[in-house]
Amino acid sequence: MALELNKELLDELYPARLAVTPEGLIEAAGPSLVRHLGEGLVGRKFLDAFKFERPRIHDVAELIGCKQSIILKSLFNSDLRLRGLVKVQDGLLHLLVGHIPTADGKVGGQMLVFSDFAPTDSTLDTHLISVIHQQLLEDAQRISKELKAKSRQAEAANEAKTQFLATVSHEIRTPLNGVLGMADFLAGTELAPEQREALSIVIDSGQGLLTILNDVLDYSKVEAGELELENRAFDLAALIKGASGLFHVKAVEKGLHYVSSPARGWFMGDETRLRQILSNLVFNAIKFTQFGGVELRVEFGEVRDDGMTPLVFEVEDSGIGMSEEVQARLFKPFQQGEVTTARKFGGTGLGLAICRNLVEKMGGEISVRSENGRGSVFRVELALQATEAPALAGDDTSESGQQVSLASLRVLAAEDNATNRIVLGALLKPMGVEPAFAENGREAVEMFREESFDVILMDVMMPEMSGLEATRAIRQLESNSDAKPVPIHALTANLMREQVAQYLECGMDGALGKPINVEELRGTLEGVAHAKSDAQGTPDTHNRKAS
Amino acid sequence: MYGMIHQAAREMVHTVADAETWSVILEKSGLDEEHFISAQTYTDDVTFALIGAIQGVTGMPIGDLLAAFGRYWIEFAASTSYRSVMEMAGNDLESLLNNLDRMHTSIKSTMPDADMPSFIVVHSDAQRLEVEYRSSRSGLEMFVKGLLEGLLERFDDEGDVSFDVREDHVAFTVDRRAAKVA
Repeated sequence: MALELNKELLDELYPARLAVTPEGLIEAAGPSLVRHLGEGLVGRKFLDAFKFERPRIHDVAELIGCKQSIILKSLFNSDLRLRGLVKVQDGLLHLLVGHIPTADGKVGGQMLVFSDFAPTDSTLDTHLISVIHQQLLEDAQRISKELKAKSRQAEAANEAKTQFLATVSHEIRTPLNGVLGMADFLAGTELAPEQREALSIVIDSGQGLLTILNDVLDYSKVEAGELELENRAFDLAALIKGASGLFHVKAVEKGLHYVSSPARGWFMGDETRLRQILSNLVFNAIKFTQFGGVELRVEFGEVRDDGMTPLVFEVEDSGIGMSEEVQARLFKPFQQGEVTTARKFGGTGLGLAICRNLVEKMGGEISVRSENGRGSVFRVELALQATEAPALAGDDTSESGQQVSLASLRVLAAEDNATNRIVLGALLKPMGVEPAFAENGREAVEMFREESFDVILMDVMMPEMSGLEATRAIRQLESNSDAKPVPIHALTANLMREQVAQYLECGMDGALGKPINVEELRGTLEGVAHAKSDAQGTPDTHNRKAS
Repeated sequence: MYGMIHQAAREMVHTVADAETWSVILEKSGLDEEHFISAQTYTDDVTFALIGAIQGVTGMPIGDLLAAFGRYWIEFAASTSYRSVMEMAGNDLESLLNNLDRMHTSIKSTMPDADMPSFIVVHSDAQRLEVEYRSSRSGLEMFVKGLLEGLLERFDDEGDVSFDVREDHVAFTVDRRAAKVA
């Protein structure tokens, strides 16, 4: 038996239905429309109450035979929109339509309710899906915000840790400077064999500690994004040859052999950092090798279109090797091969992390091939700009080859730390130099007013007046009296690129690191002595007091 | 249960306690961010772990806690994107209860894994409303009692809610006479 669509059933299935006569009068309306638009809807002219959004027609008669879906809009309430089909039956146009909900579910301030929709109409489901979708978007935003906050917290904690490490390392380096300086001084004196052996252990241990501190400080700079690379011409052959001398000594001490392949050419780059990378890899290789040896290979590729030369450095050893799992975490900070490695071999586990950062900053890659018990090969791939060897100045050889006496140099050293003053004095003594000491910047300026000096070694961080302020004051005095500027060299543990730039900007001529490298100090003083010697025959304006 | 329940629990703790208490509860429950996706269905043991952790930290009797959570759920749902759906479901207790199954049917059609309860209003007059509650879960009667109390509050209505556990359903009664007498 066919289902008879009586009024009750039609109202249930189409709560927003309309029945319109061919003349355009509304003869019946579903309960939902009556609820929203009022009882007066029935009997009105259809076109007084609704307009067609789709299809674009203006006469009800055009609906006859219309097979398209239609969209109606109420003229009383513009939020109320209906969609559906038109069927003609019993001489009436039946608009079997349902509500199109607004985003908030309201039509003209009144809420659409469940009963406005037929149970078979999925419009409510669609509305619910849009609500769920909206809620999911809010979830995503909330989670993203929470994760960002957590990430910021983690970054702040990491920064604090890095800063703490840097501060502690720096604080330890200052007394270590004293220890190593005095040990170096003692090494230059007459000692019994057993005393010399004991001192050698002190120096080795101190150097080991210094290496660790330098690693921590370097890594702190990497973390803080403060590590900057130089880009200067350097002789690769000289770098390899120079470094290999030390590698060879270390290998032989352990009963290993060391070989390096010949390198050639001048390149633009950061020579110091490249030496640091290779030293780290070679010393690591020596550390983890008991038998056999270590080889440093350098290979050159064809010059690329961009003018860069591919270089491959490989450090191969016949040591203990490592598993794939260990290799995977090898270049991460504070990681070492095995948990027992730190106990057995020492070290911070920072060296390779620093190497990776340096290599990546140079635009290269670092990798490792290894097997347990079968040795390892560390590989660094870089592309460097080849350059011409700089022409040698004719006078240089005669100058640098000539031994000069430092004894006649008048050196003013400004240093607030008593230990550092003793160390500096002890290191200068074998060179025949007896410096005058100032304990702060203000004292240095006063002494400069009173006496003549050939060179000033200036600590940077001092009480009362910093090294920078003192330098500015001295330069001002020189300028006022038209005196020739006295060479001023910073003597400081703070040798980051921008710090050195700051020293030079305020009038200093150079900077020496702490702990003091004796050869570096001697080189600087020799440079001053050469300049002084060259200046003989011309009026020695250094000696004029700049008062 | 779906993640929105977990979100409501989190908000309730933040409202009646503080963020620190919530951190302790979260740690005890073993839940993390992934358990707070509103439309995601989680196994009941996850939800019960959370409720258990709240109970453990607050020391509230479980029945009181569930009733308070039921009342809070209505307030919470009305503060989210689901507000419009709640409004469409009705603006009085009977209409809303009558529409709940339809709402749950719609949700179920979108989230097939969700295990939705059923509410059938079997009697309603000025004095009393009786509703049959069916669910595959047991032990949540106090939560439903809180829900009904929350709905009464939402519609500025008054009444005492009681329940009687039957063989295949729980019969809830909202006694409006008591409130009116008072």
